[in-house]
Amino acid sequence: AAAPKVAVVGAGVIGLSTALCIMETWPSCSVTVLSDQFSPNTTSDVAAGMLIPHTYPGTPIHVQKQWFKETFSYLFAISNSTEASEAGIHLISGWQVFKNIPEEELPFWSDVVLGFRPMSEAELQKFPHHRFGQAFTTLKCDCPPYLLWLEKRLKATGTQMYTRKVADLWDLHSEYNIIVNCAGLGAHHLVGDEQLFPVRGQVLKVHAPWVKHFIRDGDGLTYIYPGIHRVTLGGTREKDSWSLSPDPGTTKDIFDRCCSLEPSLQEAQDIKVKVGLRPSRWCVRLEREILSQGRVQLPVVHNYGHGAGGFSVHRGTAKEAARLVGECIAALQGSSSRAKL
Amino acid sequence: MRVAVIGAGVVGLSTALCIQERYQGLVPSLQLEIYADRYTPRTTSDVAVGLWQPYLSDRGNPEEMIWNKETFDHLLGQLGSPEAKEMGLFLISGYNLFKQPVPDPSWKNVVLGFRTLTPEELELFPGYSYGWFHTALLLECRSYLPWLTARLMQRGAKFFHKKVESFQEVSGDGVDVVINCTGVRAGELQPDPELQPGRGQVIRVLAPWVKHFIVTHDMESGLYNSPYVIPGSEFTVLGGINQHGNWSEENSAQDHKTIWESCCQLLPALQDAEIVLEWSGLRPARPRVRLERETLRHGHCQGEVIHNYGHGGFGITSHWGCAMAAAGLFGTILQERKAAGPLQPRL
Repeated sequence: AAAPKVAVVGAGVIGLSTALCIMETWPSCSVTVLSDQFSPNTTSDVAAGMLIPHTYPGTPIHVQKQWFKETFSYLFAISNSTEASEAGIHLISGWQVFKNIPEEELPFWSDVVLGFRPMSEAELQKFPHHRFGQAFTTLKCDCPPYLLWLEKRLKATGTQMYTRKVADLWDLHSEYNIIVNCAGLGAHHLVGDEQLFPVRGQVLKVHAPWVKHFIRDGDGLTYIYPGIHRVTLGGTREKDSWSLSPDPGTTKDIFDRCCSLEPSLQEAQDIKVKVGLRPSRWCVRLEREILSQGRVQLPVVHNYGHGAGGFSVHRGTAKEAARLVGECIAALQGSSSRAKL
Repeated sequence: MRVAVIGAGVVGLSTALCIQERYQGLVPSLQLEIYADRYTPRTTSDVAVGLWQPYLSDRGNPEEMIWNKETFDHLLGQLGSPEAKEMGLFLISGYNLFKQPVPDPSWKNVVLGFRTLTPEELELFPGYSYGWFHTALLLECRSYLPWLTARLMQRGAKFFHKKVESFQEVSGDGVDVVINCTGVRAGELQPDPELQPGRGQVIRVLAPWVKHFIVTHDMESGLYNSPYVIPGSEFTVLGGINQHGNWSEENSAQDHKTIWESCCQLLPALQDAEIVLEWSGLRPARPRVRLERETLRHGHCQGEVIHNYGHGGFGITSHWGCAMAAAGLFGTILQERKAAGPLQPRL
């Protein structure tokens, strides 16, 4: 059988990392990335890229932990290599602070990040409105650098990338054997997934290079994530809002909340406002599907719906998607052998 | 009442400010005068990146540990204030790395969140089998010294760009008390064989992805002779040179190679970092800080000198505690003057 032609729809962190995993696992494939947006205009570019997992209610915890572990190990190795600055991956330490003692004092990922421990009384004094906290060291993927680095690695494997708006996966059946759907929020219209909904996040990206630690309120709404050049201040979680326009009242509110956690941010300069719509779902849709029209079949692997946790699990879900692509390839080869009989 | 401070590094300016803040209210005629041939950014303090970190073990000088702690606590208290950014003050966490287990330092409870490194963390640093993680403070002198200067000027201090050749030159001129904060060159005013330069060289690079300090230790090569990488607010500083007795302020190509190669081995991504500046400084090394009064007699005049120099590689680390101690000695002088009454011959 000829080398399978795989189309990956979507060029955010999920699309690009999935395409790369497919190329690494099944080198005989030809992979093409199709997306209406590439970096710096994807949802991933708005995100801070912090490796702090979001919990999906519909996915078993041990699976989420496995995805996070794989992602963390993968990025840890890059952060420790000569490629770290090009890939935009760096270690960062900081604190997650709570106004009220959380139900779960040890999150499932506490033994994956580095040096996780409760904050001391002396450390908590810096946060007079908070009563409890956790200190740890984790990784951050800065975008656009990380996406550009993935694109570069893909090009090196011969992967083609095209700007193209795919309105219907079926449109691709004559050119490609297998479709991998990493369309993020786009899947809502692309495959009509009503379970997928936006959770709008507005963030500020500011110049405050003296801030070396992340600070996150355990409620997930207020956070300070220093990147290579800018600090991301957030945020909001507005369910079902599709608006990509920055809201000035929200900007002020985010700024005030972050200054309350870190007063020196009052001196932050050059404030840029961004909005991203988290592609949220009860669980990540990571599964195979066979589309058919008459006797023509089109295998699809879905990998979307990562919501607030895309960066934290991207490599783990990419590897699983690549494994599912392998099943599609085997099925295609099986049916083509049968066709020969 | 005129007080002359000789030296405008972190020790000189902070001592001047401490005296001014404490006594200007009590002594309305108090006039601070700062004399120095080098001002920021040309002082020894400016070469240092500004990380608060004492030596690993106290040298048998318990007061130094007290001054270090007082400095840390004072700076920690300033962190939340609107002045912090202008002062060049911020929190920073990072790693101290060793090739064998070592006892915890006496200052482990002064810093925040002190702990030993986990095996996973040590994987980041091949060649090192033990280490610490903690949160400390960084005080950048390129911001702090101008900040101190502005505070001093606000309250009427005067600055003179001048190389003072002798104490008499200043005290003979009607100055009541001289504060000697001349650092590594204190021996030019009064011989001090215990004071020696500890020459350091540093490379300043652009590496904004580095968010932690990394200080390595090699018991064989000695203090500060092992690579370190410390991120400031804008630049990251690479260092690891400490040459006792070397007075050269010129950059050495050999030292450049040592620093660059050892730091890139520690953090491979540094190879991509753009070099911005390279320079050398002389740590004012001494077995103990000289922080004491001396009465100097010249003819039938006498002058009071308060010495505050010899802070080695922990000047920023100890500066505020030392400034307060020096201010305390000044206070004693004031009390003696007061007790002696208004008929004290003018000096």
